[in-house]
Amino acid sequence: MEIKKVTFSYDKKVDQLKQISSTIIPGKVTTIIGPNGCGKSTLLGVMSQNYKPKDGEVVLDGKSLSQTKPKDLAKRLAVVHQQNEAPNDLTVEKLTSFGRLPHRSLFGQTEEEDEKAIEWALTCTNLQQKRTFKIDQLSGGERQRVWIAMALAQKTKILFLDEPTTFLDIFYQIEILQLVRTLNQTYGLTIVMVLHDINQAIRYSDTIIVMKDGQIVTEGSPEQVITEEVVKATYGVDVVMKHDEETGLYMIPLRIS
Amino acid sequence: MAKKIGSFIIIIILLIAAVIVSAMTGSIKVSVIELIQGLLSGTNEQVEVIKDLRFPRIIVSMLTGAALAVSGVLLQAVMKNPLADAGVIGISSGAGLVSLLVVTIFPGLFFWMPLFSFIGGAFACYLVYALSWRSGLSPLRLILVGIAINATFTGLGQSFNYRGSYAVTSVNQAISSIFTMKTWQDVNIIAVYGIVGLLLSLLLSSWCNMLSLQDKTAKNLGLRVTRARLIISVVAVLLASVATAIGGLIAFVGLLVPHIARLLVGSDHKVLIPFSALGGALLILTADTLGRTVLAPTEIPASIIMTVIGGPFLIFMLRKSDRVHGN
Repeated sequence: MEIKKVTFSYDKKVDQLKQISSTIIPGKVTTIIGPNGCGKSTLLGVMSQNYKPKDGEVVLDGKSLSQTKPKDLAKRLAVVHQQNEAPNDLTVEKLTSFGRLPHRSLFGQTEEEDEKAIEWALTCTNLQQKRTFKIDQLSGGERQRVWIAMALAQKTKILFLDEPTTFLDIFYQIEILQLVRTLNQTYGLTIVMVLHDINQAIRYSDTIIVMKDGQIVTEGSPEQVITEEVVKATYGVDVVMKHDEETGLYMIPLRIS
Repeated sequence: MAKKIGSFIIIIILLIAAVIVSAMTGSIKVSVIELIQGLLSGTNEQVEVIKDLRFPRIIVSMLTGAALAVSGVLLQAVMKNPLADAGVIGISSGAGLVSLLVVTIFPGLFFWMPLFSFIGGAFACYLVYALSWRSGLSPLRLILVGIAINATFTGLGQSFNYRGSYAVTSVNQAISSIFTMKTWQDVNIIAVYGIVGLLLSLLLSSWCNMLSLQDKTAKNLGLRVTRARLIISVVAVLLASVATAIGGLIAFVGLLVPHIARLLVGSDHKVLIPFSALGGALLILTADTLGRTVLAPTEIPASIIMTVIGGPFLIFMLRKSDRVHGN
Protein backbone atom coordinates (compact mmCIF):
# COMPACT_ATOMS: atom_id res chain seq x y z
CA MET A 1 0.00 0.00 0.00
CA GLU A 2 1.32 3.39 -0.96
CA ILE A 3 0.32 6.73 0.51
CA LYS A 4 1.00 9.48 -1.99
CA LYS A 5 1.09 13.09 -0.82
CA VAL A 6 -2.16 12.81 1.12
CA THR A 7 -3.66 15.98 2.49
CA PHE A 8 -6.85 15.77 4.52
CA SER A 9 -9.04 18.25 6.34
CA TYR A 10 -12.22 17.73 8.38
CA ASP A 11 -13.46 21.29 8.07
CA LYS A 12 -11.63 22.49 4.92
CA LYS A 13 -9.80 25.12 6.98
CA VAL A 14 -7.13 23.34 8.98
CA ASP A 15 -5.34 20.41 7.37
CA GLN A 16 -5.14 17.46 9.76
CA LEU A 17 -2.81 15.62 7.39
CA LYS A 18 -0.26 17.55 5.36
CA GLN A 19 1.29 15.99 2.26
CA ILE A 20 1.85 12.60 3.84
CA SER A 21 3.73 10.00 1.84
CA SER A 22 4.75 6.56 2.96
CA THR A 23 4.74 2.91 1.97
CA ILE A 24 3.29 0.08 4.01
CA ILE A 25 5.48 -3.00 3.55
CA PRO A 26 3.45 -6.17 2.97
CA GLY A 27 3.82 -8.90 5.59
CA LYS A 28 5.15 -6.55 8.25
CA VAL A 29 3.79 -4.91 11.39
CA THR A 30 3.73 -1.14 11.06
CA THR A 31 2.84 1.02 14.04
CA ILE A 32 1.90 4.68 13.93
CA ILE A 33 2.70 6.68 17.07
CA GLY A 34 2.56 10.34 17.97
CA PRO A 35 1.02 12.77 20.45
CA ASN A 36 -2.76 13.20 20.84
CA GLY A 37 -4.33 14.98 17.88
CA CYS A 38 -1.34 14.46 15.59
CA GLY A 39 -3.49 12.73 12.97
CA LYS A 40 -2.63 9.05 13.59
CA SER A 41 -6.19 7.81 13.57
CA THR A 42 -7.07 10.21 10.77
CA LEU A 43 -4.30 8.73 8.66
CA LEU A 44 -5.63 5.24 9.39
CA GLY A 45 -9.08 6.49 8.38
CA VAL A 46 -7.80 7.82 5.07
CA MET A 47 -5.93 4.58 4.45
CA SER A 48 -9.15 2.61 4.93
CA GLN A 49 -11.23 4.95 2.74
CA ASN A 50 -13.33 6.12 5.70
CA TYR A 51 -12.19 9.63 4.90
CA LYS A 52 -11.55 10.91 1.40
CA PRO A 53 -8.33 12.88 1.06
CA LYS A 54 -8.53 16.48 -0.14
CA ASP A 55 -5.43 15.93 -2.18
CA GLY A 56 -3.23 12.97 -3.04
CA GLU A 57 -4.23 9.32 -3.03
CA VAL A 58 -3.78 5.99 -1.37
CA VAL A 59 -2.92 3.15 -3.74
CA LEU A 60 -3.57 -0.50 -2.94
CA ASP A 61 -2.57 -3.24 -5.40
CA GLY A 62 -1.94 -0.65 -8.10
CA LYS A 63 -5.36 0.93 -7.80
CA SER A 64 -6.37 4.13 -6.05
CA LEU A 65 -8.72 3.56 -3.10
CA SER A 66 -11.14 6.13 -4.48
CA GLN A 67 -11.60 3.84 -7.49
CA THR A 68 -11.98 0.66 -5.50
CA LYS A 69 -15.51 -0.55 -4.78
CA PRO A 70 -16.25 -0.61 -1.03
CA LYS A 71 -16.99 -4.33 -1.19
CA ASP A 72 -13.74 -5.13 -2.99
CA LEU A 73 -11.83 -3.07 -0.47
CA ALA A 74 -13.52 -4.95 2.37
CA LYS A 75 -12.21 -8.20 0.92
CA ARG A 76 -8.65 -6.90 1.04
CA LEU A 77 -8.53 -4.70 4.10
CA ALA A 78 -10.22 -5.01 7.50
CA VAL A 79 -10.34 -2.46 10.28
CA VAL A 80 -10.79 -2.79 14.04
CA HIS A 81 -11.83 0.50 15.56
CA GLN A 82 -11.01 1.81 18.98
CA GLN A 83 -14.61 1.96 20.16
CA ASN A 84 -17.39 -0.15 18.80
CA GLU A 85 -21.10 -0.44 19.06
CA ALA A 86 -23.47 -3.32 18.49
CA PRO A 87 -26.83 -4.50 19.76
CA ASN A 88 -26.09 -6.13 23.11
CA ASP A 89 -27.95 -9.34 22.43
CA LEU A 90 -25.92 -10.42 19.39
CA THR A 91 -23.84 -13.52 20.01
CA VAL A 92 -20.10 -13.73 19.48
CA GLU A 93 -20.63 -16.07 16.54
CA LYS A 94 -23.24 -13.85 14.92
CA LEU A 95 -21.12 -10.72 15.16
CA THR A 96 -18.10 -12.60 13.81
CA SER A 97 -20.22 -13.78 10.89
CA PHE A 98 -20.86 -10.15 9.91
CA GLY A 99 -17.25 -10.21 8.70
CA ARG A 100 -18.42 -12.51 5.90
CA LEU A 101 -20.90 -9.98 4.50
CA PRO A 102 -18.47 -8.46 1.97
CA HIS A 103 -18.09 -11.92 0.45
CA ARG A 104 -21.79 -12.51 0.02
CA SER A 105 -24.26 -11.34 -2.54
CA LEU A 106 -27.62 -9.95 -1.53
CA PHE A 107 -29.26 -13.36 -1.79
CA GLY A 108 -26.32 -15.50 -0.70
CA GLN A 109 -26.47 -17.94 2.14
CA THR A 110 -23.73 -19.04 4.51
CA GLU A 111 -21.49 -21.47 2.68
CA GLU A 112 -18.69 -23.76 3.61
CA GLU A 113 -16.05 -21.13 3.01
CA ASP A 114 -17.87 -18.74 5.33
CA GLU A 115 -18.09 -21.39 8.04
CA LYS A 116 -14.36 -22.05 7.72
CA ALA A 117 -13.46 -18.37 7.93
CA ILE A 118 -15.65 -17.90 11.01
CA GLU A 119 -14.13 -20.97 12.69
CA TRP A 120 -10.66 -19.72 11.93
CA ALA A 121 -11.42 -16.23 13.27
CA LEU A 122 -12.89 -17.66 16.48
CA THR A 123 -9.93 -19.99 16.95
CA CYS A 124 -7.34 -17.25 16.42
CA THR A 125 -9.02 -15.01 18.95
CA ASN A 126 -9.57 -17.91 21.36
CA LEU A 127 -13.32 -17.41 21.46
CA GLN A 128 -14.56 -20.90 20.51
CA GLN A 129 -15.78 -21.52 24.04
CA LYS A 130 -17.68 -18.23 24.07
CA ARG A 131 -19.34 -18.45 20.67
CA THR A 132 -22.87 -18.54 22.01
CA PHE A 133 -22.27 -15.77 24.55
CA LYS A 134 -23.93 -12.43 24.05
CA ILE A 135 -21.77 -9.34 23.69
CA ASP A 136 -22.90 -7.88 27.00
CA GLN A 137 -21.80 -11.01 28.83
CA LEU A 138 -18.17 -10.45 27.84
CA SER A 139 -15.33 -8.59 29.51
CA GLY A 140 -13.70 -5.61 27.80
CA GLY A 141 -10.78 -7.68 26.55
CA GLU A 142 -13.03 -10.40 25.17
CA ARG A 143 -15.21 -7.83 23.46
CA GLN A 144 -12.18 -6.33 21.73
CA ARG A 145 -11.28 -9.84 20.55
CA VAL A 146 -14.76 -10.29 19.06
CA TRP A 147 -14.23 -7.18 16.94
CA ILE A 148 -10.88 -8.56 15.86
CA ALA A 149 -12.59 -11.87 15.06
CA MET A 150 -15.11 -10.05 12.88
CA ALA A 151 -12.28 -8.34 10.99
CA LEU A 152 -10.43 -11.66 10.64
CA ALA A 153 -13.54 -13.33 9.22
CA GLN A 154 -13.23 -10.91 6.32
CA LYS A 155 -10.13 -12.94 5.39
CA THR A 156 -8.16 -9.92 4.24
CA LYS A 157 -4.44 -9.68 3.71
CA ILE A 158 -4.28 -6.37 5.56
CA LEU A 159 -5.54 -5.64 9.06
CA PHE A 160 -5.76 -2.17 10.62
CA LEU A 161 -6.14 -1.71 14.36
CA ASP A 162 -6.86 1.71 15.84
CA GLU A 163 -5.55 1.83 19.41
CA PRO A 164 -6.52 -1.78 20.10
CA THR A 165 -5.18 -1.75 23.65
CA THR A 166 -6.27 1.64 24.92
CA PHE A 167 -9.08 0.71 27.28
CA LEU A 168 -7.68 -2.61 28.45
CA ASP A 169 -5.66 -3.66 31.47
CA ILE A 170 -2.14 -4.96 30.94
CA PHE A 171 -3.14 -8.62 30.69
CA TYR A 172 -5.54 -7.99 27.85
CA GLN A 173 -3.14 -5.52 26.25
CA ILE A 174 -0.41 -8.14 26.00
CA GLU A 175 -2.95 -10.74 24.91
CA ILE A 176 -4.03 -8.55 21.98
CA LEU A 177 -0.46 -7.70 21.01
CA GLN A 178 0.56 -11.35 21.06
CA LEU A 179 -2.44 -12.13 18.89
CA VAL A 180 -1.31 -9.44 16.47
CA ARG A 181 2.15 -10.98 16.37
CA THR A 182 0.74 -14.46 15.71
CA LEU A 183 -1.48 -13.14 12.93
CA ASN A 184 1.53 -11.54 11.34
CA GLN A 185 4.07 -14.32 11.79
CA THR A 186 1.87 -17.40 11.37
CA TYR A 187 -0.69 -16.17 8.87
CA GLY A 188 1.36 -13.50 7.09
CA LEU A 189 -1.11 -10.66 7.63
CA THR A 190 0.09 -7.14 6.99
CA ILE A 191 -0.68 -5.16 10.14
CA VAL A 192 -0.97 -1.43 10.60
CA MET A 193 -1.87 -0.21 14.05
CA VAL A 194 -2.01 2.93 16.11
CA LEU A 195 -0.53 2.63 19.60
CA HIS A 196 0.08 5.02 22.47
CA ASP A 197 2.57 2.95 24.42
CA ILE A 198 6.00 3.48 22.90
CA ASN A 199 7.52 0.43 24.57
CA GLN A 200 4.79 -1.77 23.10
CA ALA A 201 5.37 -0.18 19.72
CA ILE A 202 9.09 -0.96 19.96
CA ARG A 203 8.51 -4.55 20.96
CA TYR A 204 5.80 -5.53 18.51
CA SER A 205 6.60 -3.57 15.34
CA ASP A 206 8.84 -4.04 12.34
CA THR A 207 8.38 -0.44 11.30
CA ILE A 208 7.36 2.62 13.31
CA ILE A 209 5.95 5.80 11.81
CA VAL A 210 6.26 8.81 14.12
CA MET A 211 3.79 11.61 13.47
CA LYS A 212 3.40 15.14 14.73
CA ASP A 213 1.06 17.94 13.59
CA GLY A 214 -0.22 16.01 10.60
CA GLN A 215 3.20 15.16 9.25
CA ILE A 216 5.54 12.20 9.45
CA VAL A 217 8.52 13.07 11.62
CA THR A 218 10.45 9.91 10.87
CA GLU A 219 9.90 6.26 10.02
CA GLY A 220 11.92 3.07 10.09
CA SER A 221 12.81 0.18 12.36
CA PRO A 222 12.27 0.80 16.11
CA GLU A 223 16.01 0.99 16.78
CA GLN A 224 16.47 3.64 14.08
CA VAL A 225 13.43 5.69 14.93
CA ILE A 226 12.96 5.73 18.68
CA THR A 227 15.81 7.83 19.98
CA GLU A 228 15.98 10.22 22.88
CA GLU A 229 16.06 13.15 20.43
CA VAL A 230 13.04 12.03 18.44
CA VAL A 231 10.89 11.42 21.53
CA LYS A 232 11.87 14.78 22.96
CA ALA A 233 11.10 16.62 19.72
CA THR A 234 7.80 14.81 19.23
CA TYR A 235 6.34 14.53 22.71
CA GLY A 236 8.36 17.13 24.64
CA VAL A 237 9.46 14.52 27.17
CA ASP A 238 13.01 13.70 28.27
CA VAL A 239 13.59 9.96 28.13
CA VAL A 240 16.42 7.48 28.44
CA MET A 241 16.73 4.62 25.99
CA LYS A 242 18.09 1.41 27.46
CA HIS A 243 19.01 -1.88 25.95
CA ASP A 244 19.43 -5.18 27.67
CA GLU A 245 19.71 -8.83 26.71
CA GLU A 246 16.37 -9.94 28.08
CA THR A 247 14.09 -7.06 27.08
CA GLY A 248 15.76 -5.56 24.03
CA LEU A 249 15.38 -1.82 23.49
CA TYR A 250 13.16 0.01 25.97
CA MET A 251 12.40 3.52 27.02
CA ILE A 252 12.06 5.15 30.43
CA PRO A 253 10.47 8.59 30.60
CA LEU A 254 12.19 11.02 32.99
CA ARG A 255 10.46 14.40 32.94
CA ILE A 256 8.76 16.97 30.76
CA SER A 257 11.50 18.82 28.98
CA MET B 1 -32.43 -20.69 19.38
CA ALA B 2 -35.22 -22.73 20.96
CA LYS B 3 -36.73 -19.52 22.25
CA LYS B 4 -36.76 -18.07 18.76
CA ILE B 5 -38.41 -21.10 17.17
CA GLY B 6 -40.88 -21.29 20.04
CA SER B 7 -41.76 -17.62 19.62
CA PHE B 8 -42.41 -18.13 15.92
CA ILE B 9 -44.61 -21.17 16.51
CA ILE B 10 -46.61 -19.41 19.19
CA ILE B 11 -47.18 -16.26 17.18
CA ILE B 12 -48.28 -18.23 14.12
CA ILE B 13 -50.74 -20.23 16.21
CA LEU B 14 -52.05 -17.03 17.80
CA LEU B 15 -52.43 -15.41 14.40
CA ILE B 16 -54.38 -18.35 12.98
CA ALA B 17 -56.57 -18.36 16.08
CA ALA B 18 -57.17 -14.63 15.74
CA VAL B 19 -58.18 -15.03 12.10
CA ILE B 20 -60.67 -17.77 12.94
CA VAL B 21 -62.15 -15.91 15.91
CA SER B 22 -62.37 -12.70 13.92
CA ALA B 23 -64.13 -14.48 11.06
CA MET B 24 -66.62 -16.13 13.43
CA THR B 25 -67.62 -13.21 15.62
CA GLY B 26 -69.70 -10.16 14.83
CA SER B 27 -73.29 -9.49 13.90
CA ILE B 28 -73.38 -12.77 11.96
CA LYS B 29 -72.14 -15.66 14.05
CA VAL B 30 -71.07 -19.03 12.71
CA SER B 31 -69.25 -21.96 14.27
CA VAL B 32 -65.80 -23.10 13.20
CA ILE B 33 -67.25 -26.15 11.44
CA GLU B 34 -69.85 -24.10 9.57
CA LEU B 35 -67.13 -21.67 8.60
CA ILE B 36 -64.80 -24.30 7.18
CA GLN B 37 -67.60 -26.22 5.45
CA GLY B 38 -68.99 -23.02 4.02
CA LEU B 39 -65.59 -21.94 2.71
CA LEU B 40 -65.06 -25.30 1.05
CA SER B 41 -68.52 -25.79 -0.43
CA GLY B 42 -69.49 -22.16 -1.05
CA THR B 43 -73.15 -22.94 -0.31
CA ASN B 44 -73.60 -21.47 3.17
CA GLU B 45 -75.12 -18.02 2.68
CA GLN B 46 -73.87 -16.63 5.96
CA VAL B 47 -70.34 -17.71 5.17
CA GLU B 48 -70.63 -16.07 1.75
CA VAL B 49 -71.50 -12.79 3.47
CA ILE B 50 -68.56 -13.22 5.79
CA LYS B 51 -66.37 -13.89 2.78
CA ASP B 52 -67.46 -10.65 1.18
CA LEU B 53 -67.41 -8.42 4.23
CA ARG B 54 -65.22 -9.88 6.91
CA PHE B 55 -62.39 -11.49 4.99
CA PRO B 56 -61.27 -8.34 3.17
CA ARG B 57 -61.28 -6.61 6.51
CA ILE B 58 -59.21 -9.35 8.14
CA ILE B 59 -56.64 -9.40 5.35
CA VAL B 60 -56.40 -5.62 5.18
CA SER B 61 -55.90 -5.27 8.92
CA MET B 62 -53.24 -8.00 8.98
CA LEU B 63 -51.30 -6.52 6.07
CA THR B 64 -51.62 -3.02 7.53
CA GLY B 65 -50.21 -4.21 10.84
CA ALA B 66 -47.41 -6.15 9.20
CA ALA B 67 -46.45 -3.22 6.97
CA LEU B 68 -46.44 -0.73 9.85
CA ALA B 69 -44.43 -2.99 12.15
CA VAL B 70 -41.79 -3.71 9.51
CA SER B 71 -41.63 -0.06 8.52
CA GLY B 72 -40.89 0.65 12.19
CA VAL B 73 -38.05 -1.89 12.23
CA LEU B 74 -36.53 -0.36 9.09
CA LEU B 75 -36.82 3.23 10.33
CA GLN B 76 -35.26 2.23 13.64
CA ALA B 77 -32.34 0.64 11.79
CA VAL B 78 -31.83 3.65 9.54
CA MET B 79 -32.20 6.28 12.24
CA LYS B 80 -30.42 4.21 14.89
CA ASN B 81 -33.27 5.06 17.16
CA PRO B 82 -35.54 2.57 18.91
CA LEU B 83 -38.27 5.22 19.09
CA ALA B 84 -38.71 5.78 15.37
CA ASP B 85 -42.20 4.87 14.15
CA ALA B 86 -43.93 6.02 11.00
CA GLY B 87 -46.97 7.12 13.00
CA VAL B 88 -45.06 8.97 15.69
CA ILE B 89 -42.67 10.93 13.47
CA GLY B 90 -45.24 12.09 10.94
CA ILE B 91 -44.67 9.83 7.94
CA SER B 92 -48.15 8.32 8.20
CA SER B 93 -49.86 11.67 8.67
CA GLY B 94 -47.92 13.13 5.73
CA ALA B 95 -49.02 10.18 3.63
CA GLY B 96 -52.59 10.53 4.89
CA LEU B 97 -52.76 14.25 4.15
CA VAL B 98 -51.54 13.98 0.58
CA SER B 99 -53.79 11.04 -0.25
CA LEU B 100 -56.72 12.90 1.32
CA LEU B 101 -56.05 15.93 -0.86
CA VAL B 102 -55.63 13.88 -4.01
CA VAL B 103 -58.72 11.75 -3.45
CA THR B 104 -60.78 14.86 -2.77
CA ILE B 105 -59.58 16.72 -5.83
CA PHE B 106 -59.26 13.78 -8.22
CA PRO B 107 -61.57 11.01 -6.94
CA GLY B 108 -60.87 8.98 -10.08
CA LEU B 109 -57.31 8.29 -9.04
CA PHE B 110 -58.33 5.91 -6.26
CA PHE B 111 -56.13 3.02 -7.35
CA TRP B 112 -53.10 5.32 -7.40
CA MET B 113 -53.72 6.49 -3.86
CA PRO B 114 -50.76 4.50 -2.44
CA LEU B 115 -48.51 6.35 -4.86
CA PHE B 116 -49.65 9.75 -3.62
CA SER B 117 -49.46 8.52 -0.05
CA PHE B 118 -45.91 7.54 -0.77
CA ILE B 119 -45.09 11.03 -2.00
CA GLY B 120 -46.57 12.52 1.16
CA GLY B 121 -44.78 10.04 3.39
CA ALA B 122 -41.47 10.57 1.65
CA PHE B 123 -41.86 14.33 2.02
CA ALA B 124 -42.52 13.99 5.75
CA CYS B 125 -39.57 11.62 6.13
CA TYR B 126 -37.31 14.06 4.31
CA LEU B 127 -38.47 16.90 6.56
CA VAL B 128 -37.73 14.87 9.69
CA TYR B 129 -34.23 14.08 8.46
CA ALA B 130 -33.44 17.55 7.21
CA LEU B 131 -34.70 19.34 10.31
CA SER B 132 -33.17 17.05 12.91
CA TRP B 133 -29.80 16.53 11.22
CA ARG B 134 -27.10 18.52 12.91
CA SER B 135 -23.82 16.71 12.22
CA GLY B 136 -25.46 13.47 13.27
CA LEU B 137 -28.86 12.30 14.39
CA SER B 138 -29.61 12.82 18.05
CA PRO B 139 -32.35 10.34 18.97
CA LEU B 140 -34.25 12.79 21.12
CA ARG B 141 -34.14 15.68 18.63
CA LEU B 142 -35.33 13.36 15.90
CA ILE B 143 -38.35 12.32 17.94
CA LEU B 144 -39.20 15.89 18.91
CA VAL B 145 -38.97 17.13 15.33
CA GLY B 146 -41.00 14.13 14.23
CA ILE B 147 -43.73 14.80 16.76
CA ALA B 148 -43.94 18.43 15.63
CA ILE B 149 -44.21 17.39 11.99
CA ASN B 150 -46.80 14.79 12.89
CA ALA B 151 -48.85 17.40 14.74
CA THR B 152 -48.67 19.77 11.77
CA PHE B 153 -49.78 17.22 9.19
CA THR B 154 -52.47 15.79 11.46
CA GLY B 155 -53.79 19.29 12.09
CA LEU B 156 -53.86 20.11 8.39
CA GLY B 157 -55.70 16.87 7.69
CA GLN B 158 -58.27 17.54 10.38
CA SER B 159 -58.91 21.14 9.38
CA PHE B 160 -59.45 19.89 5.86
CA ASN B 161 -62.10 17.59 7.27
CA TYR B 162 -63.88 20.45 9.02
CA ARG B 163 -64.38 22.56 5.92
CA GLY B 164 -67.95 21.30 5.98
CA SER B 165 -68.26 20.19 2.41
CA TYR B 166 -70.15 17.26 0.97
CA ALA B 167 -67.01 15.21 0.44
CA VAL B 168 -66.30 14.71 4.11
CA THR B 169 -67.82 11.31 4.63
CA SER B 170 -66.33 9.82 1.53
CA VAL B 171 -62.75 10.70 2.33
CA ASN B 172 -62.94 10.42 6.07
CA GLN B 173 -61.62 6.90 5.97
CA ALA B 174 -58.39 8.10 4.46
CA ILE B 175 -57.32 9.66 7.71
CA SER B 176 -59.18 7.88 10.45
CA SER B 177 -58.85 4.20 10.66
CA ILE B 178 -61.92 2.10 10.51
CA PHE B 179 -61.56 -1.16 8.72
CA THR B 180 -65.24 -1.34 7.87
CA MET B 181 -66.29 -1.40 4.27
CA LYS B 182 -63.05 -2.87 3.07
CA THR B 183 -63.53 -4.63 -0.24
CA TRP B 184 -61.49 -7.08 -2.23
CA GLN B 185 -60.27 -4.09 -4.24
CA ASP B 186 -58.58 -2.72 -1.12
CA VAL B 187 -57.11 -6.15 -0.54
CA ASN B 188 -55.64 -6.11 -4.03
CA ILE B 189 -53.99 -2.76 -3.54
CA ILE B 190 -52.46 -3.47 -0.17
CA ALA B 191 -51.48 -6.99 -1.16
CA VAL B 192 -49.59 -5.81 -4.22
CA TYR B 193 -47.74 -2.88 -2.65
CA GLY B 194 -47.51 -4.33 0.84
CA ILE B 195 -46.15 -7.73 -0.09
CA VAL B 196 -43.60 -6.18 -2.45
CA GLY B 197 -42.48 -3.94 0.40
CA LEU B 198 -42.29 -6.81 2.87
CA LEU B 199 -40.22 -8.95 0.49
CA LEU B 200 -37.88 -6.04 -0.21
CA SER B 201 -37.34 -5.50 3.49
CA LEU B 202 -36.35 -9.15 3.93
CA LEU B 203 -33.68 -8.63 1.28
CA LEU B 204 -32.46 -5.55 3.14
CA SER B 205 -31.99 -7.36 6.44
CA SER B 206 -28.22 -7.75 6.21
CA TRP B 207 -27.87 -4.04 5.46
CA CYS B 208 -29.96 -3.30 8.54
CA ASN B 209 -27.66 -5.55 10.54
CA MET B 210 -24.59 -3.69 9.35
CA LEU B 211 -26.19 -0.34 10.17
CA SER B 212 -26.66 -1.49 13.77
CA LEU B 213 -22.87 -1.27 14.07
CA GLN B 214 -21.10 2.05 13.80
CA ASP B 215 -21.21 3.74 10.40
CA LYS B 216 -17.46 3.43 9.96
CA THR B 217 -17.57 -0.27 10.81
CA ALA B 218 -20.38 -0.77 8.29
CA LYS B 219 -18.27 1.07 5.72
CA ASN B 220 -15.28 -1.15 6.41
CA LEU B 221 -17.54 -4.15 5.78
CA GLY B 222 -18.07 -2.80 2.28
CA LEU B 223 -21.46 -1.16 2.77
CA ARG B 224 -22.22 2.10 0.97
CA VAL B 225 -23.79 3.57 4.07
CA THR B 226 -25.61 6.57 2.61
CA ARG B 227 -27.03 4.60 -0.28
CA ALA B 228 -28.18 1.81 2.05
CA ARG B 229 -29.88 4.34 4.34
CA LEU B 230 -31.70 5.90 1.42
CA ILE B 231 -32.94 2.60 0.00
CA ILE B 232 -34.08 1.28 3.37
CA SER B 233 -35.88 4.57 4.08
CA VAL B 234 -37.69 4.34 0.74
CA VAL B 235 -38.96 0.84 1.53
CA ALA B 236 -39.97 1.93 5.04
CA VAL B 237 -41.90 4.90 3.69
CA LEU B 238 -43.51 2.70 1.02
CA LEU B 239 -44.78 0.28 3.65
CA ALA B 240 -46.04 3.01 5.96
CA SER B 241 -47.73 4.89 3.11
CA VAL B 242 -49.55 1.88 1.72
CA ALA B 243 -50.72 0.99 5.18
CA THR B 244 -51.97 4.53 5.69
CA ALA B 245 -53.64 4.75 2.29
CA ILE B 246 -55.67 1.61 2.89
CA GLY B 247 -55.76 1.14 6.66
CA GLY B 248 -55.71 4.76 7.76
CA LEU B 249 -53.62 6.49 10.39
CA ILE B 250 -52.41 4.10 13.05
CA ALA B 251 -49.61 5.13 15.36
CA PHE B 252 -47.35 3.14 17.66
CA VAL B 253 -47.48 -0.23 15.86
CA GLY B 254 -43.97 0.30 14.58
CA LEU B 255 -42.85 1.15 18.10
CA LEU B 256 -44.55 -1.55 20.11
CA VAL B 257 -44.13 -4.60 17.90
CA PRO B 258 -40.40 -4.33 17.06
CA HIS B 259 -39.58 -3.66 20.69
CA ILE B 260 -41.35 -6.76 21.94
CA ALA B 261 -40.00 -8.72 18.98
CA ARG B 262 -36.44 -7.77 19.92
CA LEU B 263 -36.99 -9.09 23.42
CA LEU B 264 -38.30 -12.38 22.04
CA VAL B 265 -36.13 -13.09 19.00
CA GLY B 266 -33.20 -10.67 19.31
CA SER B 267 -31.74 -7.94 17.13
CA ASP B 268 -30.76 -9.97 14.06
CA HIS B 269 -32.88 -8.42 11.31
CA LYS B 270 -33.11 -11.69 9.39
CA VAL B 271 -35.35 -12.95 12.19
CA LEU B 272 -36.61 -9.64 13.53
CA ILE B 273 -38.25 -8.49 10.28
CA PRO B 274 -40.42 -11.57 9.64
CA PHE B 275 -41.32 -11.85 13.31
CA SER B 276 -42.33 -8.19 13.48
CA ALA B 277 -44.49 -8.67 10.39
CA LEU B 278 -46.36 -11.50 12.10
CA GLY B 279 -46.56 -9.53 15.34
CA GLY B 280 -47.93 -6.44 13.61
CA ALA B 281 -50.54 -8.53 11.79
CA LEU B 282 -51.63 -10.13 15.05
CA LEU B 283 -51.78 -6.83 16.92
CA ILE B 284 -53.91 -4.91 14.41
CA LEU B 285 -56.20 -7.85 13.69
CA THR B 286 -56.78 -8.24 17.43
CA ALA B 287 -57.29 -4.50 17.93
CA ASP B 288 -59.77 -4.34 15.05
CA THR B 289 -61.67 -7.44 16.16
CA LEU B 290 -61.91 -6.13 19.72
CA GLY B 291 -62.93 -2.70 18.41
CA ARG B 292 -65.87 -4.05 16.47
CA THR B 293 -67.09 -6.62 19.00
CA VAL B 294 -66.67 -5.12 22.47
CA LEU B 295 -69.22 -2.33 22.11
CA ALA B 296 -71.18 -3.74 19.15
CA PRO B 297 -72.90 -2.33 17.17
CA THR B 298 -70.71 0.71 17.89
CA GLU B 299 -67.18 0.37 16.51
CA ILE B 300 -64.01 1.62 18.14
CA PRO B 301 -61.42 2.22 15.41
CA ALA B 302 -58.23 0.19 15.71
CA SER B 303 -56.26 3.44 15.58
CA ILE B 304 -57.90 4.62 18.80
CA ILE B 305 -57.17 1.36 20.54
CA MET B 306 -53.56 1.61 19.40
CA THR B 307 -53.28 5.18 20.67
CA VAL B 308 -54.53 4.12 24.08
CA ILE B 309 -52.02 1.27 24.29
CA GLY B 310 -49.23 3.12 22.49
CA GLY B 311 -49.10 6.39 24.44
CA PRO B 312 -48.11 4.84 27.76
CA PHE B 313 -45.76 2.52 25.91
CA LEU B 314 -43.91 5.46 24.34
CA ILE B 315 -43.40 6.95 27.82
CA PHE B 316 -42.06 3.61 29.01
CA MET B 317 -39.68 3.47 26.04
CA LEU B 318 -38.48 7.05 26.55
CA ARG B 319 -37.65 6.26 30.15
CA LYS B 320 -35.49 3.30 29.27
CA SER B 321 -34.19 4.47 25.90
CA ASP B 322 -30.77 5.44 27.19
CA ARG B 323 -30.16 1.78 27.93
CA VAL B 324 -31.29 0.37 24.62
CA HIS B 325 -28.06 0.88 22.70
CA GLY B 326 -24.99 0.00 24.65
CA ASN B 327 -21.53 -1.48 24.35
